[in-house]
Amino acid sequence: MAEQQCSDQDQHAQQPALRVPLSTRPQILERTHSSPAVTARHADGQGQGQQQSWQGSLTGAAPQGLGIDTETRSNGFLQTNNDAEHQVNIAVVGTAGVGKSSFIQQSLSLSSQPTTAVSCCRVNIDSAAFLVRMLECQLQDVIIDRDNKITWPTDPRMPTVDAACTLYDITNKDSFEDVPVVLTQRDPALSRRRTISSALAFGQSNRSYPPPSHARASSVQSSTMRKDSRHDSTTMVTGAPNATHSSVDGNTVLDHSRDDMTDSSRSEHASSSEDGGLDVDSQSEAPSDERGYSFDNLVDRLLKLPKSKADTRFGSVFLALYRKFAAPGQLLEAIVHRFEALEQEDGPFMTKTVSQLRYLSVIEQWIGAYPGDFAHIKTRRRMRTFVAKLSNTRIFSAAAREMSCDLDVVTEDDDTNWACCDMDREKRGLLSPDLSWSSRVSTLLDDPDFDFSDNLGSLSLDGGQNRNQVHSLHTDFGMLQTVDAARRQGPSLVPTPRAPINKSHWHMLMETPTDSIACELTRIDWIMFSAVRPRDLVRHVSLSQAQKAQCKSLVHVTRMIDHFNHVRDWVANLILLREKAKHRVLMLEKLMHVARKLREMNNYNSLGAFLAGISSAAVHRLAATRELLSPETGKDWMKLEILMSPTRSYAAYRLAWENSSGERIPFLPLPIRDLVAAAEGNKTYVGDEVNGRINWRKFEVMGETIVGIQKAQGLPYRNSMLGPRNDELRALILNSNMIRDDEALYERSCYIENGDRRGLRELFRRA
Amino acid sequence: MSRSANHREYHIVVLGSGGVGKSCLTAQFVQGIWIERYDPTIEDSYRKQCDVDGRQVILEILDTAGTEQFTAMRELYMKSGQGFLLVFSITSSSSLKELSELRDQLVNLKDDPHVPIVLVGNKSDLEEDRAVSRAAAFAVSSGWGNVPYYEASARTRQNVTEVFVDVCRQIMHKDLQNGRTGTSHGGEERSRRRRDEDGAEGDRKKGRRRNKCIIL
Repeated sequence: MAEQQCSDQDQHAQQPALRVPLSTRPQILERTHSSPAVTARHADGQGQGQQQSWQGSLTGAAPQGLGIDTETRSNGFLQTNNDAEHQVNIAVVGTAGVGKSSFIQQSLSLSSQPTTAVSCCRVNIDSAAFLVRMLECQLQDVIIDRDNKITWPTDPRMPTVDAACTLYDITNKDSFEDVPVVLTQRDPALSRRRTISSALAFGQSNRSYPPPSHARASSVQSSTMRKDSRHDSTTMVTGAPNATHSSVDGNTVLDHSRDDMTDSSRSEHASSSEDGGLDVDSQSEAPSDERGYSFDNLVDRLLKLPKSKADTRFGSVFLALYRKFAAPGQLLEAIVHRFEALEQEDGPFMTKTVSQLRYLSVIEQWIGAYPGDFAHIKTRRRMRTFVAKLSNTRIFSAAAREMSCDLDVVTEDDDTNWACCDMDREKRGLLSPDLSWSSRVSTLLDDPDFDFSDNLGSLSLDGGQNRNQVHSLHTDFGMLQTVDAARRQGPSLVPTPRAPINKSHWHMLMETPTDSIACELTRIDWIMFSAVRPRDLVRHVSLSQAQKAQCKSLVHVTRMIDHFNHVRDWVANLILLREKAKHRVLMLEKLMHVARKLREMNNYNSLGAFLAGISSAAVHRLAATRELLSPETGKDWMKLEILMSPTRSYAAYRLAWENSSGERIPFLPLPIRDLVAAAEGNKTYVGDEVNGRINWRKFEVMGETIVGIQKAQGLPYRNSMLGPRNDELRALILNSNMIRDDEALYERSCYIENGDRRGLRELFRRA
Repeated sequence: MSRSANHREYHIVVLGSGGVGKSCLTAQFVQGIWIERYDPTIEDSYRKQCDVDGRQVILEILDTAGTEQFTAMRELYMKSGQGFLLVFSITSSSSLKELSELRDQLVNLKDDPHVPIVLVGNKSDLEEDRAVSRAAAFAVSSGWGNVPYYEASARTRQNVTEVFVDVCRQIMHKDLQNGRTGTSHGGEERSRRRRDEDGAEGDRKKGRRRNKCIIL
């Protein structure tokens, strides 16, 4: 059987199950896998008319609630005790033999495999009773017409379809063949995500697929999609457990998560069922922004099913910054503690498993993004123990394998001993398992008797085979690879002064199209920018000089800053090269056009450097040159100056940044300044530090900056956009020997243009 | 020089080496209380209306914290300001030394040896770690033409408002003098831009200088 069976049958027994007597469907005498539900439709004697009316309810406006609209109910096929009861109808679609019956059996906790096309069960979710019907149907019986309208195989017991799961067999490629076709279809009437989300709660632990009606499945390629899915943590939170299964179509998994986080009207039922009784802690202390949050409050929020964009953002921010108040070991313990508590809790097996898988996906996201957090020898060992133990449970084995892969690449880096670290905790004796508080921590983490050599052996074998596949889906790992590549390329972009700028350079630059210059500058900037990880910036602003010296990755931040200064000097030098104003103005105008192009490309970093260069004292005083400038260019330049003006905390620039939807590089001085100001201007704790009430608002503000950077980094400039690499131009930018000293530049400026002093004076006074 | 409106707006730039507490000083001045959320990304986080000698003014503060390594930005920062806080930490003698270079650049750029400046010794609450004696700081401030010297603490809110008000007062005096008199006294310090002295708008009025250190 292809389906991954839920491992714990006993759990199902606890779930209230209401089986529909077989006699209610006398029409189908013998049901086989291949028996399409369509047959049932005809056998029922329900002709086209009936089908049409059902279809009408599908294509019409989505009715409120989860129930079936009254039109169909009046057909008399539904005998529910309570009309107000919520009903969810889920189609389970797939080719023969993929395990649809088992899927339904497990999902609805039926004692045996369903023998009818429709199974039904009353499920209590969050103290509300749901009537869940599952319709088994063949892929080929789902009819999609030219208008992309879906006609479901009808069945009298299930007149509408609220959601659908598509199944395929991972061991059988043929069973997947038609799935993508179905996935790309959309049925506008079925965009009721409330029910889809509800369906997810049932389907997620099994191999579930986005419903055929999924409206976004076809829009995966859109750029906003790519941007969002890359960094928003829900990508992992909701999708990751499935990611290992969905090696064929990873996009659909991303799609899921996007739905969950963007749709504000998503199912309250689904989310509350997820949360049901899980975050009791967070209620008791009533944390608030004013009173601060305990570490436990924050971990609860981290593990909660994200309900809004803010929740999604929370995960990224928390993982990036939690080190300011907690060590990795502490967080690992907190998560595993909750994981285990859930294991021992009574409750529907499915919801428990879904929550547990979500916890694991948070760990996966964490280890994928910040492997250095796990590099401390004890933390790594504990993580290994945890992963090895997980791998014994079938349902968690895929997640365990993925984490194991990530663990393999864990090496010590700047993160390891930064801020709150496990080294310090060890010194305080907090890591030894026999201390009092460790009773809270399970044997999942610390089990001295556990022999995990066997488990690991098999695990890494598995991992080895799947590594590439798994990692290609792992968005954060993809990010890491980009960072690594950028970090390797970075050193080649350090300026090496060779020849002084001369007239031939000047001519070459004048002949190079404006766009090419802007593109080459952006290419360089992008490499440097993507080599900088947000935590590097946090370290850059918060560590002392001595501490900074020990951080290897800070070199990437320094390099980008140096490049910024370099570009500014390059601009000034180019303008000051020629001795005649009529020549200088050509270059001035050219560079102003490049600056405009840089702004169009959203490369605010180089734009800032250009502004600094052209506004530098040495260039700014060239009144005679400026007089020759065409009014249009001058006006356009003023617009750029206003854009990057620091007044009102760079309000104009911030607005532009927020509204730059495509690829973008930030004006680096600003995020750095924001991080400093947020870090210094707010306290880490509310009240006394010993109370441990964390002032989360501080991290929210810092997180704002970090998420902004992450989002920008998640959307690389495409080569098609930047054009082919221009080595000659790059050499001209990087390898020119220039005047780097402001004083010397000023002297040069006075030498070439010392005519109208009044003009100069005015220029300075204007500021 | 400044915009004429109901409330005059003055631009003050906070300069100094990294880690001397510039952003704390700014945040404290604008925000006031610690516990409140200070969000540097919102427009008002660097603006404050205050009363200087009975006149309501708006101070727009340009905090350069975190951007010390961006030497390319320095001239831009300096150009945009009318008054300057040069901040060092009393726990680091190098942070005071580094200010001299900044001050020279500032005077050159503004072409004015009496550009409104206040020297601020920050972190005065860390008396036990003091590395710069008051005498040393005074020596520097008098070498700069008797600019006022304050010791301040962002943590204890000591002298935070005072330093901003003082520099604002200097700007206002300068405005007043420029408006009243066109006579130039010339600067004592030779600036490289003194060459273009043409007297038409000589504004090198020697401002009223007070040599003071206020410790609360």
